[in-house]
Amino acid sequence: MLIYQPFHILGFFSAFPSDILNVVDIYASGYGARFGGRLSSVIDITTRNGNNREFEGALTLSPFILGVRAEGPLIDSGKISFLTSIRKSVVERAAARLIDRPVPFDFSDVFVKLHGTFGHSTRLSLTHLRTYDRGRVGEDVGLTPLAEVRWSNRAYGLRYIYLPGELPVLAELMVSYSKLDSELGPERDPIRFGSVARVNTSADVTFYGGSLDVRWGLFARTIVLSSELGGLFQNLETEKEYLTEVGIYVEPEFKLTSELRLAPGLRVHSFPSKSQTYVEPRFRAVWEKDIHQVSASVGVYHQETIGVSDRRDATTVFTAWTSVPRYLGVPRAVNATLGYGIRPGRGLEFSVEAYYKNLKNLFIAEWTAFPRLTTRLQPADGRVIGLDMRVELRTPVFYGYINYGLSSVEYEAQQTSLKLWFGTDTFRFRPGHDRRHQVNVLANTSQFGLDFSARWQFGSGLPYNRALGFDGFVLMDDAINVFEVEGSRRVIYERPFNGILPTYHRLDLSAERRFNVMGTKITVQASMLNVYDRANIFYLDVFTLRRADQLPFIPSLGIKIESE
Amino acid sequence: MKKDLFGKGWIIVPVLLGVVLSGCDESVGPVLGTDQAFTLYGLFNPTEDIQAIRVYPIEGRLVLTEATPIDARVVSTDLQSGIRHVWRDSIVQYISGQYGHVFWAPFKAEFEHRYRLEVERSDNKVTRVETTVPPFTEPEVLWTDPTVFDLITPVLWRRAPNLINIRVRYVSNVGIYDVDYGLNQHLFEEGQIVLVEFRADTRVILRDGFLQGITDVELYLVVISAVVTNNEWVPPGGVFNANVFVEPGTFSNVENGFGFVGAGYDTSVEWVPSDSVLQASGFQR
Repeated sequence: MLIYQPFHILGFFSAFPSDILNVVDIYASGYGARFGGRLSSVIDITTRNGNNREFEGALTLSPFILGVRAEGPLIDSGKISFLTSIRKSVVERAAARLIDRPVPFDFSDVFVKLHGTFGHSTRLSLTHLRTYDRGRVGEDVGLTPLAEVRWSNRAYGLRYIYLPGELPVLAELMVSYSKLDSELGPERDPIRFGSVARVNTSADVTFYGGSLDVRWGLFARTIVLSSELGGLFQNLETEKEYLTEVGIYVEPEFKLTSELRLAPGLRVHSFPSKSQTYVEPRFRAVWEKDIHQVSASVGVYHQETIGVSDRRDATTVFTAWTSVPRYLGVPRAVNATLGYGIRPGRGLEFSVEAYYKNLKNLFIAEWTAFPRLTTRLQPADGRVIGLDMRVELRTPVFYGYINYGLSSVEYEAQQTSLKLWFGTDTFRFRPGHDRRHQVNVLANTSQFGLDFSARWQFGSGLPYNRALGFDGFVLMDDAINVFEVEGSRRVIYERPFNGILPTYHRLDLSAERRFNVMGTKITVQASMLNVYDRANIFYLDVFTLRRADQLPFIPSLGIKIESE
Repeated sequence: MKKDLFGKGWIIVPVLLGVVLSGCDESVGPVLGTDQAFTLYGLFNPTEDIQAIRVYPIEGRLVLTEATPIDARVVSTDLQSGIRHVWRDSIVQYISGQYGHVFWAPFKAEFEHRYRLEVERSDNKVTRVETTVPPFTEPEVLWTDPTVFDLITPVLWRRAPNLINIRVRYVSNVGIYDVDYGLNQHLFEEGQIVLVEFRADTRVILRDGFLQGITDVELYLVVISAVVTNNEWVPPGGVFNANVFVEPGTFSNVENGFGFVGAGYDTSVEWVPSDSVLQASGFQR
């Protein structure tokens, strides 16, 4: 099942607790034919099943979060198990008291999974995930709508797996429902609302043939996009769209030698609501020998849904969903990657991957000096060039890595008015998500019976729209009477995305100790979040200069109790 | 030593990075400010007894306009006669409940005179605009040749530099029909001519009359109206499009500020088409 917003507010926590995860694969680019409908990246998360032999549980208490996990067999035979996790942030109350400063962020999540084994060849699982996030961006002073942002995910999934004993085949049938609701403004009377929901039905079959594995499948989806956009200086704009997507894919993987794997793929992705069908070829090759690995991929991708945000909202806390205009084609990306990895020994690993994306037929939010958010779009093209490097070290007493990401995103807007505004037919700019440099450093070590951890994150500033000032606009298309014609308020923007927000960086330190008390595992953790109290921006309103920052320096002491 | 380099000593790496960058700038200035002081909209109208201009101060935050005076002094000068007028502020509350500042002065603008309007802030920042009032003219309906199929009726605004908002109204026993001619005019030596497409415009009246079962469709009156303006009041791109002109500076004649201040006045003329024209177009005489 799809989760539209897989991270909690501020990005501190994933929507999935780490102790329910089984496999997490992140495809920044160049993913295979079984994934589609997206131009950028995919995070493929597989959760584990609950313990089908005995009951287990865990309780987490900290100034940030309270969490409970429980799992075990539902019936004595162990054929059906459950796994459930509930987490609720307490940062708004507990941490705020600790540091005597408001920390107006709240989130929670609930995960439930039932898994059944029926005979030797049949598995069935039901999964539900619900999340809620809220961030206050200042006191509501009645002039601007941006007092609070909220979003919630809801997802339900059914997965049926069939493993016929006589054939090396795995067949899966999946039905899922996913929804993301976002709101801006007071809780009982939101000023802006956006929603995206999807019902997905898919069937996948994998044939395991030794030197040739073949995976193929088909899917059908219905997507509902809706938005209600209001605000002080704009009329209420309501929109609802129903979209359909159907398709089929095949993804064979040839193991030509013990060193070389080739995975050509083909996806036929149809957008009937847009009267468009696309053939998306994909190809991936991996060569591994001794300590070296070289990989390369290329593929074509399309994405129908588009998120638009307000130019006043410099950090994009609220997104409205819409889709491309009919008959104008669906946004397309041609992605290519080339990677190299080496394991020189002594626990050291090094990898580097370069990527290039050519983006065509993009649609981005219109540029207007009216102080409004609408789902009106303008055409654009673009390209992304990037490089990811990682050094990882794993020894008996140490684990750590340094990730560095270099990226350059450039869009070329094609709004028809550009010639009049800027004297050119097109306008090149860095969009708001173009983070040029990104660094993640993690270091874990054990000493004196304690596990010490240090994590530092850095992201260079994102582009945003600066204003020169604010005035008004009256359309002078008649001998108007200015006593009667009111006009509109207006933003005198500098050129689009000409400003750069401050860099983001943060250092977190922690030390933890584990005890075993009569079969119960107890972990005590002392931590310092945002050690040097960096004021990283959470929200910035370009119109009112209202700013809210992410979490300040917070020391904490937490405990986790796990029964086994 | 070697063991430490590849071991627990690495834990200081993120700490060092944090320490190095801990002092870097956290501030952000999303509004840069500008030397431009005001945005102005309005016109000098020689047919009105008072002149009025909407004044927006260029501000550093987007807030509701308050019902309090603004820091602005507005003065107009007739560049031919040298007569100066100091304009007064009036805080207007519009239908929406929002306030706006309209400055006005009790005088009639003179035809063909050039005016300078200056809006000054107490810090001596001045926004300025100059505009020329067009000459006096009234529309003249010229002869329609009933033998030409399209039944084109020329209407002449003698000596008019430019016309905007050209509209034709047809009053009939089926109803009132308005046709927007926008800026559709032709410059001749005598002035601006609008070619009224009588047959094309009135086809819909005859059709509606037929659909309503009216056998004798009668056309009582034709009215054409337009705003006579100076040469500056011409929209770039040929269309008054709010979504385009909202971009500051796109359609502006204001110095050290934004907006547009024109000069012009409303004109109109009405006539009853000749029997031969009515007969040729299918109307009851």
